[in-house]
Amino acid sequence: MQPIITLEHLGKQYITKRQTITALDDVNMRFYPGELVSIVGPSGCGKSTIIRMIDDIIKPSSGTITVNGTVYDNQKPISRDMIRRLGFIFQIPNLYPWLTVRQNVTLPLEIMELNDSAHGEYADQLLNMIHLSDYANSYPREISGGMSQRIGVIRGMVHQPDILMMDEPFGALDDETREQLNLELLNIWRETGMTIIFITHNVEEAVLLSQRVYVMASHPGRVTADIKIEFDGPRTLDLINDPKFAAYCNQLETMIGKIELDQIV
Amino acid sequence: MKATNKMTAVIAPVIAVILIVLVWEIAVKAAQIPEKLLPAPTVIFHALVKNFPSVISKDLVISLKSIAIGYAMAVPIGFVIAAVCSQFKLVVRAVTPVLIILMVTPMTTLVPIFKLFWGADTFLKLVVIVLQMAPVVALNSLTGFANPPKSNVDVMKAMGCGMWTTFFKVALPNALPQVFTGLKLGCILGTIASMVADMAVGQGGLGYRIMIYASFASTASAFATILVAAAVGVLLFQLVSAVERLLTAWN
Ligand SMILES: Nc1ncnc2c1ncn2[C@@H]1O[C@H](COP(=O)(O)OP(=O)(O)OP(=O)(O)O)[C@@H](O)[C@H]1O
Ligand SMILES: [Mg+2]
Repeated sequence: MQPIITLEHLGKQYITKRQTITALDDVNMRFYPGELVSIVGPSGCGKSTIIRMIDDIIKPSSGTITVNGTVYDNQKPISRDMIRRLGFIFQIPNLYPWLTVRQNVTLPLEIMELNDSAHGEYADQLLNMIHLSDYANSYPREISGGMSQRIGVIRGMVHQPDILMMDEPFGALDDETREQLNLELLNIWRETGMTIIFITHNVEEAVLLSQRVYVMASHPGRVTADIKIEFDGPRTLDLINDPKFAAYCNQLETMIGKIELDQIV
Repeated sequence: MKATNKMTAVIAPVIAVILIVLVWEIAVKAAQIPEKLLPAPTVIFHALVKNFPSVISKDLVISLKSIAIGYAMAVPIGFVIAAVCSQFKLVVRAVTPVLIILMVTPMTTLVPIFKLFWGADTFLKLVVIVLQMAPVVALNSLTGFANPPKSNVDVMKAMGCGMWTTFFKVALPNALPQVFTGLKLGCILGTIASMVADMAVGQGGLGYRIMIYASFASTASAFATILVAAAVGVLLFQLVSAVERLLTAWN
């Protein structure tokens, strides 16, 4: 099978007034259609940078990105039709203070001219899923941080993209909400067959959700491992009791921990 | 608690005005200041009642007309200049000081020069009003448009939006408070400019009427007209503020 996204020799340097930061160096990744892949790694290793480049929010300094057979790099931007097949969930909610909750959620529909009732109903369905239907007409300043976070999550998928990038989407939520949304995400993923790139700090979350996990190290940001996660049963919270679950978590934990230790030494 | 606060907010300034008027009345009477120099409030009020229907109201209409037409021209001009310039960082830097200079230049000083070419007519007043209003509208809008929140712009980029969609969906709503600062300052400066233009150009208007009354030493009537001019400024300001509150209800 052909990968839907291929990153080849991807590099990114941030040039600031004081210094040049090599955020990523020679990153190679592949994502196959319908896969749910997590990226884990220490803070600052360039996880957000990778998906921001895939979504063409920022340009790579070197290397190429191929999505659906179309190559783009720091010269050639992604086409508008292509970008609309992608969904992006930001690390912070980035809500628009002058729009109501529902207007925030349906903004992508408005921009992409998906104004039919089916899309509107899907938006309401998602609002219901995150238990915020009652807040549809509230403004962002009237709701809590965790609520904003959840709204940011559904805004990124309301236009039913083929590829969804999620940047620590549940990072700011309590454990209960996080578990519930993890299960909802698995449901949506199964129903839609989307390809999902999921960034997280939480290894349990990565193991529960993913079919594969990329582990990264920092200074410079690079990929250190590509680990397949396989379970016999379905993905439910029961997996937590599976000895394999603990084993995967330990494996990832040590890899990330070891990386951090290496850096201290 | 809230209701009492609101009450005091209304009552306090009313009491202040009543006190000032009272002191003024008593002081003028007690010190026997000649009416031609400083008329008492009651005298001014009489002059207002006497002259408003037949004279001052006509000048009021002329002034309101030129301010309204001036505003209707200056606001879109200032706004479009700001919107276009804000898209280019370098242009923002280049244009900002020019707008500041234009804003602080009293445009009525140009009247004697313009008169040489156009003669004294109402068109000249409009030119002065627009020149005075447009820069302050443009400057404030430009400041607002120039730095839209990066996080919200990223959301637009993620949806593949171009520069103008981003402008209308992010930069503009985000800048509404600054835009309205410009619109409010614009109506104050425009009102002042129209009064001074009336004096310099003639052809009626509240400024012209004040000048005429003053030159005939009808001080009370002049003050009455000044009162009307002040009311125009206050009302226009309140009108724009009301529109602002309507459009920035989310804030
Ligand atoms: N706009 C920027 N300007 C300069 N440096 C940046 C910028 N954005 C990111 N960096 C740097 O690039 C590196 C990678 O940042 P990135 O946000 O991709 O990390 P991350 O893995 O997502 O971290 P976290 O888990 O904390 O979100 C960091 O060292 C950061 O300092
Ligand atoms: Mg990040």
